[in-house]
Amino acid sequence: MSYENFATVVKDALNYRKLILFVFVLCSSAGVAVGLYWPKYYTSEATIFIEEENILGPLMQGAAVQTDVVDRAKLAREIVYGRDILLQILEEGGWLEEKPSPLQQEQLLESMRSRLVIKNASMNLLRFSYKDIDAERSYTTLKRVVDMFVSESLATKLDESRSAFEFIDKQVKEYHQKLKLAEDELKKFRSGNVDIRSGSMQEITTRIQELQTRVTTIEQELREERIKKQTLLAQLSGEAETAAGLSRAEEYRKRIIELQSQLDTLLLNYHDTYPDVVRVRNQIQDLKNALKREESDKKNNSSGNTIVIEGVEVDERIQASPVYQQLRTDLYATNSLIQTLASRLTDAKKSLEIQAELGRRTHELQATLAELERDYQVNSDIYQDFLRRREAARVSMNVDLEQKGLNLRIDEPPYLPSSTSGLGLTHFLAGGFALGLLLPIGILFGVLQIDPRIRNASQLNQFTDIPIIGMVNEFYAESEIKSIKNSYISTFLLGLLTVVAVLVVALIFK
Amino acid sequence: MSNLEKALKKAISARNKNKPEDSATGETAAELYSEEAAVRSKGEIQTMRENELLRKTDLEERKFISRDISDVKVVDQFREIRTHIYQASRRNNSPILVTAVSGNAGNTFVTKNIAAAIALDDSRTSLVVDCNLTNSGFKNLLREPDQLGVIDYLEGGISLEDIIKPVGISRMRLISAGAKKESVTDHLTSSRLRALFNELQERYSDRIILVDSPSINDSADAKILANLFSHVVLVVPYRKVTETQIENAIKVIGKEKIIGIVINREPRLLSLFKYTR
Repeated sequence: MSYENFATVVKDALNYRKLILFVFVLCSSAGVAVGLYWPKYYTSEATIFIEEENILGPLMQGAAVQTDVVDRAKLAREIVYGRDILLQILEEGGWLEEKPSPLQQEQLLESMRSRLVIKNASMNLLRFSYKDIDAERSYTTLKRVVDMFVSESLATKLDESRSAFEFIDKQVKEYHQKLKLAEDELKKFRSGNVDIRSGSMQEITTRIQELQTRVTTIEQELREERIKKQTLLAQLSGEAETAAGLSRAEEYRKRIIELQSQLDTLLLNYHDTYPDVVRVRNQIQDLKNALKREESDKKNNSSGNTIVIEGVEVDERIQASPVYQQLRTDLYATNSLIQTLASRLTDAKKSLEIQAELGRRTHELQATLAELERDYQVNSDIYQDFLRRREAARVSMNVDLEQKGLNLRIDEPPYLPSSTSGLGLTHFLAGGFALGLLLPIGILFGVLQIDPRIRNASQLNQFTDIPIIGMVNEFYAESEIKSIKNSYISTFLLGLLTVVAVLVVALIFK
Repeated sequence: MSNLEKALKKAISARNKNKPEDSATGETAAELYSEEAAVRSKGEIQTMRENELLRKTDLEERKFISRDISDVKVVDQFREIRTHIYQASRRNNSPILVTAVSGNAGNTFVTKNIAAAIALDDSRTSLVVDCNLTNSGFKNLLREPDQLGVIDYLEGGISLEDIIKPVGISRMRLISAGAKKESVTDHLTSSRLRALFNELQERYSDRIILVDSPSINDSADAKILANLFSHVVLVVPYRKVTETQIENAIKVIGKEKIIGIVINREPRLLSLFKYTR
């Protein structure tokens, strides 16, 4: 604000001095009037130290999650502003003696709520304040409120610890039942499956492994024996053939060759008609015929005197061969060994199957057992835990019952207020004076801001560059000057007089 | 003591019989002294016919500034305006029209006191021509209200000397509006008005001629007069007119003609206590 504007406002103020005086008188009078009629309130205060912690908190630590409790004042208000408590206070304070209608009663409650203020003073301090037009009543009411709050809180706390105990007790019983059930089931299972011992599975595994080794071994042996038998059979048939081939045809040919050479020798000395030569020749012919017959016999296989061993035809004639005899003995031995091995293999496989089945069953049973045992263990753990907690809760409840664990105490008891609080007469007086001065000046300022009429040179200079060659005041004659001066002085004196009058009125009617 | 002084003193004391003798003589002595000084300084002015001069109380009553009135601040303010008027009329002594933006601006007050301020200067004389023909502000200054004035002159038949009247202040003269009031605008448009001012300008070349007129936004007369003169002082009343009104007035007059703006009736702060004796 420029000096010029300020000066303009002051000039205007002097110009409108009577109006301003009027407004000042009006405001001051209003101030003193309102100040005198404004009800005087006495405020009583009390602080309560509170260390409220939900009893379930420590009891259930780790087992359950607690919600944080922060606004104690809000909780306290919830207790104190409750209809029951307030009605009780109203009744004890004598407000209800005239039997107010429900509507009036509701209004009384509302007014009580507005006058009773509960605030968080610090972390653990609650400040109660109550204001009333009667100092005595202000004190007694607040005292009652505080007492009721404390007792109600304790009752609530006891209630809380009892309900906590009951809750835990219920849980204990529930888990006891569960535990018992688990135990029964385990017992039943164990008695039904005696063979299931811990470690039996290992034995079974070892046994299965042994059996498997045995089966493998037997199978190996069996395979070997079978190969041996094959070999023996092959040898046997080969020997027979060899033996059979050698026996007659070879003899015949040998004989024929011998006789041929004999014949050749004879022919050197003798004619064909020589008896010896003829005989030898006949013999050779006989032998050749016999060989022929033999070969055709062989071809027809119709010698008839053959035996069949393991699919191999053996001529009776070669049965006498010692090698053959030996082979046959070996073959018999091998055959009997194969028989034995096969039966052993079957046995081993059977018992392996049995063991595998047993192992499978043992697995299932053991899983079931483990589950039952785990159930039992969990139930047992929780049960033990709850048992401990229940004892703690019982102690807490007992502590609350005896009010020994009290963490709620009146830090600063209510007192009888000696002086009024809130807006007093002085405030209203000062307010009236200030308003009386500031309101008209403010209005003048406002008018100056919005009034388009030209008041000073700077306003003129804003839109024209024509020089301002002079500012002329109103010209006053000496007598006029005197009267104007007197008017200023009288206005000022009247203002002073108003202040004095207002103060006197305030003092008299206070 | 000269005869003139004796006559003056006699007349003044006769007019103020009720007043205590000592104060009356004291006050008039100063007036007389200044008058004497004026007479000595310029021979021509000496010839001016001075009737009975106004006493201090009468001056104050008529809202005239003078050397020894109580309210010195206003005197100073008019002296300052006077300086600007001197600068404007230095060349050819053309008449200066004093007009206001709107009615009731105290236009007449400004005009007559500029004239009075000029008259305070021993070496100068001033003449006020009242051209506010319908609503003259000078009537109370004249002893006889129906004295001859501008209108009478314009109608003809009388000489300049018949209308130039003393107002009771040394070195200041007045031509009043005149008695008759009909169809004044016609008079203003007549060439005789122009002739009147030409004659005034020529005959009284040492006089500063101030023309009082109606306010520019309210009266057609003022617009006609504004066309007639080349020097105009615009009076702006304090807290009465808006920017638009002032701009309008400036436009009607013509910006180049305006010597300057005088803000009138500015309320006083505490200068009443400070500047008064």
